[in-house]
Amino acid sequence: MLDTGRTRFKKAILTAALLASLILTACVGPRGWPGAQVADNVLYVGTLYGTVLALNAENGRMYGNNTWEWKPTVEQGAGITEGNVTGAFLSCSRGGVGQFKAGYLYGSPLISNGTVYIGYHTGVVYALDATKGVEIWKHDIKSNIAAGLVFDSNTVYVGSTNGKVSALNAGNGSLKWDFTSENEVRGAPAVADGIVYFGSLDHKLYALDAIDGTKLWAVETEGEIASAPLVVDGVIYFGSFDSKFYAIDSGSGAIKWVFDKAGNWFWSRALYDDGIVYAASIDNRVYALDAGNGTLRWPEPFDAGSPLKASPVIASGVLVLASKDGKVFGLDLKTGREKWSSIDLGAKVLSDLCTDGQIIYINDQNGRIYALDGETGQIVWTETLADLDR
Amino acid sequence: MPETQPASTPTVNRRGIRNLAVLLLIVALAIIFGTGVLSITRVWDLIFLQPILNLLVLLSKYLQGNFGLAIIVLTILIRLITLPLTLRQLRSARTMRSLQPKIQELRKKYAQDKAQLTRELMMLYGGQRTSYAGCLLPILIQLPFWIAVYQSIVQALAATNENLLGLSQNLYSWSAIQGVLPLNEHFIGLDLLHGNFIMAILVALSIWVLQKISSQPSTDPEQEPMNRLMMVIMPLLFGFMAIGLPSGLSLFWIVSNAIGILIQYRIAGWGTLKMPSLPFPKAGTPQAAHNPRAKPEKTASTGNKDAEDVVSQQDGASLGGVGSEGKEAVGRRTISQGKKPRQ
Repeated sequence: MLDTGRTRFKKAILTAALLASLILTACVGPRGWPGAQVADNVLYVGTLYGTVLALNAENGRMYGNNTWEWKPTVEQGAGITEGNVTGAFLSCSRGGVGQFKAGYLYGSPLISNGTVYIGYHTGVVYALDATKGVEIWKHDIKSNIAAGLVFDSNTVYVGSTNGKVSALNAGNGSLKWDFTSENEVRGAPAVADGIVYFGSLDHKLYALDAIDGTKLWAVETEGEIASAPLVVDGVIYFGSFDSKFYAIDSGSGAIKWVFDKAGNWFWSRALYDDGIVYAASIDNRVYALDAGNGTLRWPEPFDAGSPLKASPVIASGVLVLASKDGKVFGLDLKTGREKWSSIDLGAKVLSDLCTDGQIIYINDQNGRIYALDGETGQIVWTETLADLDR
Repeated sequence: MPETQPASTPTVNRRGIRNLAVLLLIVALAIIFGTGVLSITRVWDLIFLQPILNLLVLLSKYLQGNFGLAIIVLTILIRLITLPLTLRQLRSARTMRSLQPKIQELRKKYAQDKAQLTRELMMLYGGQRTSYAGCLLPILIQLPFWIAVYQSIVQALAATNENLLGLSQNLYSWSAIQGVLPLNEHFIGLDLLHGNFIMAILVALSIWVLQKISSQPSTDPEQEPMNRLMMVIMPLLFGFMAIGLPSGLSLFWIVSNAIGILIQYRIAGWGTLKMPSLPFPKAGTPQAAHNPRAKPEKTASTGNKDAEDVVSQQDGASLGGVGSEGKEAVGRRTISQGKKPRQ
């Protein structure tokens, strides 16, 4: 009965079992959202399993020249180890620990001068030979990397959750300088004309001298900034978690205009084409804004029906975007109308899209990659990105 | 001693209506979820996660960005919200306690006839307007709050991009909430996002004390080993879980249990917890007559519904924490004073 020890035991077991099961059910561990990059007909793609693959861009297969697979060696004491190395009970929903052996990725591989650069959430940046998939160097920044890298003038720039932006020598991985903001950096930096721009969760967008990391100016918004800035013709375009989209003068940091009609955060990198800035928002909509004054250029924003986290691309004159629920849309740049029927991939898409100008490559959260023809929206090929340990 | 009452026609009708309502609710939910109008996740977010998450963020804002204080205030609010549930648990527990002699009698009488025993027990429970569900339901209903608090802490502090993305979907578009993020995960030297061994020990200790203070010595020697086992298992279980869970959730549990311990002491004394006498007397002792905080005896002996509810309300306030179990002391006192359970 209720007040007997036996019933109390049943209650306790029931309570504990339900609590544990519900917590475990609610425990959706971080998986990352690795992206892809294409160069010289080779598709370099990060996987949900922490591996990096170099695939034949024409068919997604791993044969032909310069195709390979690689994963980092997880070492105790090197960076913030993840997965089963230091996995703790019920800790899957928090940072620093994941269920994947190699660590997870939030950015796309960066290709430059025959080298692939990739930053893991563990905090380790690797440089790989693009033709062989062999490690050249690695640098542990001893914090989490939650976005992609940027390359400019033999320097790799990386932001991290300890609030720093670090400049690494692209040749040997040594640290050139770092700058610390007042909160986490969860967006990729941008470099233009010798200035590094990056947003921080401290609500500010910073401009640093690319040579020595000296702060030139900072502009404060009303929300966290996790989107990568876009720099075009001396103007920086970026969105913030205050649901506003900003255009800033790159020289002085003065605000040129602010778009404040969105219903939720801006997280993805904006796009620019022919005087129009395309800004996708977590409020499900993509806004076409006049680059000069921030006014809407389409009759109405396009509603994708699901948050737009993945940065869109322009391929074959079509604006291609993928929503969180896995739908892919091809829009007319001038009108915002659909150029082809949307495609349902059946899995979440959070990774930034990439393109060679005609074909779009999309990494979904089920571990598949799709190649789409930007002009027609037809799927050219699709492949499952395998775990090396399987 | 309570007497078994045969189920009356109005009772049957009420039960029939209730069953029909439950059936209709199940069918409605099946249609809603089955047709994809709403997903279970969405409903969960709307009902539990979002209110608690947004309240936490809002409290943080008005508490100078102190997330730890926000958790403490939230704990107090949740205990207030769940008070009606804990009252129901108390009533059921008290009634079930009063039925123990009758149950033992029936068990002896129908030791060889399990089916008849079940029928007799059901009749007994029905007559006393109580059931297993009546006792277990409040505990089940409290679970979502724990889960939602856990999810809210993890999501509000947003250690990963996934948490941050989830946060964007669950924050209200209130202007008061905009600009509050990011929240400070540190509270008096504690990292609220990660497990902490000391907090885990405090969780276990608070559960153990609450169990001890809530329970009374068993009248059945056969139950003693089980009771002793439970006194150990529950603290260990939750202490073990607290090691891997965010310290913010441990803070929630500790504060909740601490409130439960204080109230339980004020209502029913130290239970089976042996403590040195304190300057202020516990309820029900002669000294309590001079203690304005002690529960007046007359409320337990007036024999009317209102008075009984006063007792229930005070006792019920002690429930709701992790591991709050026996509430026998109050039930026993009520029964021993000749109070007949309400029919």
